[in-house]
Amino acid sequence: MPIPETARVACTSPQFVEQATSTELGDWLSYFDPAAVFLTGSSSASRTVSTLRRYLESESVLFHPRNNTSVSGPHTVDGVQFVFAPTLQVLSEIYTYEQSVLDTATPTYIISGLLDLDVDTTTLSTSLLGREDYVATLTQDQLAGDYIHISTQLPAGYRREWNRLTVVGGGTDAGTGETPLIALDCQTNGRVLTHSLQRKRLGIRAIDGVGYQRARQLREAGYTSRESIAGENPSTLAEIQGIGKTTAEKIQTSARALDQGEIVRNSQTPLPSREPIYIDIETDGLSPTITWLIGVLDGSADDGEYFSFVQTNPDIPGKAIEEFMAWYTEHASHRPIVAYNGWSFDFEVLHDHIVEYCPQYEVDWTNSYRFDPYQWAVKEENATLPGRTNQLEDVAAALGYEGTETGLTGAGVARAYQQWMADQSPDTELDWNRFIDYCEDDVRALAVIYEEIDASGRVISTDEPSNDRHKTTTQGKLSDW
Amino acid sequence: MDTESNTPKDDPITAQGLEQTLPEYDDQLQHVEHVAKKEGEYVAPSDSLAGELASSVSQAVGELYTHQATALERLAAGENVCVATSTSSGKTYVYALQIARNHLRNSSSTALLVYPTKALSRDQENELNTFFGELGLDISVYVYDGDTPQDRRKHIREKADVIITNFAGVNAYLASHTRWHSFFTGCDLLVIDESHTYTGVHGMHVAWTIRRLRRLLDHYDSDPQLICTSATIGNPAEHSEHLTGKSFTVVDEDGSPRGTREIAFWKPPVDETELDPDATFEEYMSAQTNPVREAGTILAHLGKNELQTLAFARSRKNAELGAKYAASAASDHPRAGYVDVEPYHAGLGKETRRGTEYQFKNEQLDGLTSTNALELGIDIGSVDATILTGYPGTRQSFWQQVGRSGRGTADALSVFIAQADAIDQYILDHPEYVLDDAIEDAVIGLENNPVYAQHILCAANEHPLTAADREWFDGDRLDQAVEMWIDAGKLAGDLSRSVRYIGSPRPQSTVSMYTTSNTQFDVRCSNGEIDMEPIDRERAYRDHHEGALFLHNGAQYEVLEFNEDVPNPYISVQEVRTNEYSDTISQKAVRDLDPEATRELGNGFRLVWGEGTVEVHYMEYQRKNIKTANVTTPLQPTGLDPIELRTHLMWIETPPSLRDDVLQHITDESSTHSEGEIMKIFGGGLHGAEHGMIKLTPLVLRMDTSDLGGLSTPLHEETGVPTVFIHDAVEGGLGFSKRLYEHLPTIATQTRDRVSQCECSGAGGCPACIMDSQCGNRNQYLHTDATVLVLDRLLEQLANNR
Ligand SMILES: [Zn+2]
Ligand SMILES: [Zn+2]
Repeated sequence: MPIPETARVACTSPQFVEQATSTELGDWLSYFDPAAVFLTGSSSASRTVSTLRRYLESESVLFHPRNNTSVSGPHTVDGVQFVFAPTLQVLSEIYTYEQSVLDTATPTYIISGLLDLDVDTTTLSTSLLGREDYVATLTQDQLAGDYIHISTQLPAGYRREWNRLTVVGGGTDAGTGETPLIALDCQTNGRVLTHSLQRKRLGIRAIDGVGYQRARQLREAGYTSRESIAGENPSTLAEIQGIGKTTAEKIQTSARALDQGEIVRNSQTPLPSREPIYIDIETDGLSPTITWLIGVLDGSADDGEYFSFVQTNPDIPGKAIEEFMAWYTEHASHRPIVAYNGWSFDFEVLHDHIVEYCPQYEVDWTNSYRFDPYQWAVKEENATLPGRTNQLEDVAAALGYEGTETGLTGAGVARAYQQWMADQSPDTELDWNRFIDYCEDDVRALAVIYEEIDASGRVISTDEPSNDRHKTTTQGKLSDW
Repeated sequence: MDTESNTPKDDPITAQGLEQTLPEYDDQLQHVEHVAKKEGEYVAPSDSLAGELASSVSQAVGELYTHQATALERLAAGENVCVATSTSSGKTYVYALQIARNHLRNSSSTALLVYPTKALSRDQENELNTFFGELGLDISVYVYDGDTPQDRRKHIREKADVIITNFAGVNAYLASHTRWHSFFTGCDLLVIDESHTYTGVHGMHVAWTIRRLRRLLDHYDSDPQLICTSATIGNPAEHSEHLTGKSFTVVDEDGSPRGTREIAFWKPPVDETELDPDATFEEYMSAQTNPVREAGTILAHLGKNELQTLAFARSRKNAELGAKYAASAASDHPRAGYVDVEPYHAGLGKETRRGTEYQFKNEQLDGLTSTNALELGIDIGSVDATILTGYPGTRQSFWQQVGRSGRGTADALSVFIAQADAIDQYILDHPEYVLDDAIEDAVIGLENNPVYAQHILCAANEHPLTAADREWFDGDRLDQAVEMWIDAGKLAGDLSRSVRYIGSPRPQSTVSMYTTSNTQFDVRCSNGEIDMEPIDRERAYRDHHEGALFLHNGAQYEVLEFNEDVPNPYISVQEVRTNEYSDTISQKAVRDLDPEATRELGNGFRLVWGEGTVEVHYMEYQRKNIKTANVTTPLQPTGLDPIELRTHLMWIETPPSLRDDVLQHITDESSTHSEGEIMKIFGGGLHGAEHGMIKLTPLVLRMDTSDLGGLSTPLHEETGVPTVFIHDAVEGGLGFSKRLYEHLPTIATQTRDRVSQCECSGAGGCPACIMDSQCGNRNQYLHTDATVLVLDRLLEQLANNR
C-alpha cells in the first residue's frame, strides 16, 4: 500500500514550556522533531509563546487556541492539510476555503480548543462541551471534504464519532505531572498516530539514576547535557555533593549508553547458553482475552527464519496459541524463549491463555526457559541500554536498527483487532500481512538488542560509536488508531 | 434466672457499691442496669454434622451453640446465611465447619474469607490452621494481602484451600483473575466477616467489588455459597443482600452464655450555677466536669480496691490524660498511695504496646486508659471493670467495650460516663436504648453513581462487558454507564457484542475504597507519618482547608497546604499539640430540587426525598481555645471557592402558617412579629430540629454525623414554604437521607424527647441537645422551645398518616 504523507505535531501544555530547562526544551524538540507545535490549555500564555518562538525554526507552525498571535486559517504542513481555528469564526469560513485552497479529496485536520469533555458520573452522561456552537458554525452538510476535528482541550488518545463529527484529542495537560508529552502523526489517510514521552526522559534526567534532585546538583556543577556527563570521569562526578561513587559510575555509564547509542555491561552475568527463539505477541489490548498473533524468529536478526501463528477467527481464541505450543514442544522445547518485557506482558499473557484455552500445555510452558532481556538488563541491572526510553523501539533504534515503516503501533494493532472482534465485516477485516510484518519488525528488533548485549559481553570496548542517533527514527509509544 | 449477688454492698464492684464508696460522690449515678446471667444453649455436634466430623468436633470444641447449629443446618440446605449474634459467640466456627464439610466432600474445594482489617487476618490464619489441625483435616489457610511477599503469592494462589484477604486486595487482584484460575474454579464459599462494617461510601465500593468478584467466579463456573458474619444490626437480611446481591437467611438467636454484670449510667456533675441562660457552646463544654477526669477518678478508686480496670477514651490525647488523672486522683484518695495506670493507643510504638499488654495481662497494672485500639482482637485477658468515656458511636462498640469486663463467674462492672452531647444524654434518659433489640440499620447507598461508574470501568477491564452483565450491574443502568464511558473515550464497543476497556492500564488502582469522587486529596504529613485514606473533595473543603485543625486517630493535625490545582491534589499537614480548635464559617444554599418520593402528611406538611444541588462556601475560619473559647486567631479567609455537590436530600416542607403558630405560642402574643423575632424563634426552631435530628441519626443508622449536612429556612425559594433539609454529605449520595426519610417518625420522636428533657435553661440550647460543633452558622439561631413545637406539629401529622 502507498505510504501516506505525515505531519508530525508536538502537543504540550504551557506549563511544561514554562518549567523546562533550555536543555530539556531543545531535547524535547529534537526527540519529536515536529513540523508544528500545539499549545494546549486555556490561558493566553503570551510569555510561553515567546519562549517557544526562540526554540522553533522560523517556518514552524505554532498554534495556541487562546492567543491572538496564533496561526489561523488553512495551512498545508508536510503535505497534510490543516485548518487552524483559534476562534469559531474560522469554522464559518471553511466552505470558502473549499472553494479556494482545500483539496476535498484528502482529509483535512481542523485544529481548535473549542471542544471539551464533561464526564458527569453523577448523572452518568458525558457531553462534548462546545459541540452545539461548533456544529452550528461548521455547517457540515454544505461541506464536500472529510474533516478530523482535533481539540487541544481533549486528552491524548481520545477519538470518538460525535454524530458524524470525528473528534480527536490534542493532549490537554501534556507534560504536566505524570501526563506524558505527546506528538501526533497526522496522516493524509485520516489516521492519527499518537506518540508519547515522559517529561522526565528529557535532558540529563533521561540518565538512569538522575531524578529532579540530582539533575539540579549536576546542573549546578556545570553538567547540563548528557554528552558532558558521558565524557566525564566518574570519580570527578563523585566529587559533587550528594553523589556517591557508585551513583557516579551508574550515572556516567547511562549517559554514555545514551550519548553513544551502545550497550554498556555492568556485570559478567552470562546470557542463556542455548540458541534462543525470539517471540512477540499481538493481543486485543492491555487486558487481553486473545493472543491472535505470535511471531517467531528462529536464527539471527539479519537472516533468521521468521514465521507466525495467526488466529484470524476470534471465535476460536485458543487456536494460535495451541499451534504455537505444539510447534514449540515438538521442535524447540530445549531452547530459551526470549521476549522483550516478557515478564511484564508476553509470558504472563501466554501463561494465562494457555491455562484458559489449552491447559494440556501448562506444564510444558512452566517448564520452559523464558528470558526477558529487558528484565535482565534494566531491572536486574546487568546492562545499561541506550535509547531515550527502554522501550523496544527506542533501544533498537539507538542501536542503529531501521525497521520497516508499517504505520502501526502496539495499541493501534490491538484496537484494530478489537474492532474486527466486535464486528467481523469486510470493513473491519485486518490487512493480515501488514500486521504479520509489523510483528516481524519487532522480533528482529529484539534479536538486534539480544545480539548486541551478547556482543557487549565479549568485547569490552567503547570506541566504535554507532550511527548518529538522530538519523534513526525514534518511535515513542503507544496509541494510534 | 440468677439475679442474686453475694457481693458486700461496700465493695465498689457493683454500681451501688461505687455510689457508696466513691470519695466525694455527687449524685452522678443516674441509672443502674443489671444484666442477668444467661446460660448457654447447646446442641450436640452430631445433630448438625455428619459422622466423623461430628466426633472430631466433639473432641476439639465440645458442644455447639444453638445458633452455630442452626447456621450449619441452613447452610446444608444450600442457603446463604448471615450470622448476626454477639461478639464472642463463635461465629468463626460456622464457616470453619462449613469449609470442613466442603473439603470432606471435595478436597479441591476452596474458600475465600474477607476480613475488614489486616490485623484480624493474621490472627484468624493461625486460629483456623490450628482448628483444622485439631480436626485432623489437611486444609491450608493463608493470608494473601498487600503484605504477602511477591515470591509467595503464586504458591498461595495455587496451593491454598482457604485464602484470607480484604476488599482493597480483592479490588486489585481481580485485574489478574486468570492467575486465580484454579482457586476461583474451586471456590465453594465466600465469607464476609464483620459485614456490618461495610456501610456508607466504603460499603458501596465493597458491594460493587463483590459483584465484580461474583461475576468473575461465574466466568469460572463457580457460584459460591455466601456467609456474612455481622454484629447485631437492625437489618441483617437486607444489608447482606444489598452488599452481595444475593438473598440471605438470618441466624440471630444467640445461644452463647453471658455472665452477670452491672452497668452504671454516670453523669459527671455540671456546675449549672455558673452558666448564663445564653451560654455558648464552649461555655457549656467547660462547665461540665471533664468526663476524662471523672474516668480517672473512678479508675483510681477501683484500683485502690484491687479491681483491675480498663477505661476507654475517644482520643489518644484523652487516653494519655486519663492515665495522668488517675495517678493524681490516687494521690488525693483518702487511702493515699498510688495506682499503676498506663495509656494505650496506636500512636505508641509497637514495643511499648506489647509491653503494656504483657504487664496488664500479668496484673502488674491496676488499669489501662485506651482508645478503641484495644477494642478488637487484642488479647489482654479479662478485667474486673470497664469504663466508657462517652458513647462509642454504635451499640456494637458499646457492648464490645462493656463486654471486656468479667472474670469467669465473678461479677463485672461497667461504668458508662456520658459526655455533654446529644447522643450520650439521650442514652442517660433512655438506657433501654442500648439494652433493647438492635435498631441501628447498616446502609449501603447502591444508587450512588460516581462509585458505581468506577466499578463498571474495572469490570470491563477484567472481562469485556456484554448484555448478560446487566444481571450483575443493575440492569439498564449499565447501558447508561457504558455509553458515558464510551463518549469519554474509556470504553469501546457495544453491549450487544462486547464492550472493552481502552483507558490507561489498571483502572482498579485508581479506585479509592473510601471516597466517591474522582478528585481526592492525598494526605501528606510534613513531620512524621500519617496513615490516612485519601479524602473526598467535599470533606477536604469542609474540614481540611488551610489553617484547619483536625483530629485523626486521636492525634491533632494542622493543615499547612491545600493543593487542588495539580494532577494529584493533596493536603499537607503537620502534627501539632495545641489547646485550640478551628471553627469554620460557611454559607449554604440548596437548589435544583428533583423530588423522587413524596409523602403528603396533611395540613400542609409534606416529606420529600430526592436529588438536589447543595452549594457550600466555606469562607472563613477562626481558632479558639478549647477551654475558654476565647478567639486565639481571628477570622481568616479559607481561600476556597464555593463547591457544589449533586446529591440526595430529604426535606420537610411545613405550612407557612406554622410560623405564626410557633411565634404565638412562644411569645404569647398574636400581634405581628419583627424579622428578628421570626429568625430567632421560628428560624431557631427549624434550625434546632435540623441539628437535633442529624445529631441523633446514629441512634438508627450506623454512620458518622459528618455523613450528613443540613439547612433550614423560614422560606425556601424553590419549595416556597418553611423547609428543613438534611442531605447526604458526598456527591452522588450515601443512602442515609433516604433512610431518614423512611425512619423520620422514630428520629423525630427521639429528637423531641431529647430536646424537651434537656436540662439547659436558655432558649439557645446546649451541646447536649441542639448545639452542634459542626454548625457553619456558629449555632445561630437556635430555639429549644420552638424546636419542640415544630417537632410536635410534625409528629402529629406523621401519627395521622401512618
Ligand atoms: Zn440542652
Ligand atoms: Zn446549624
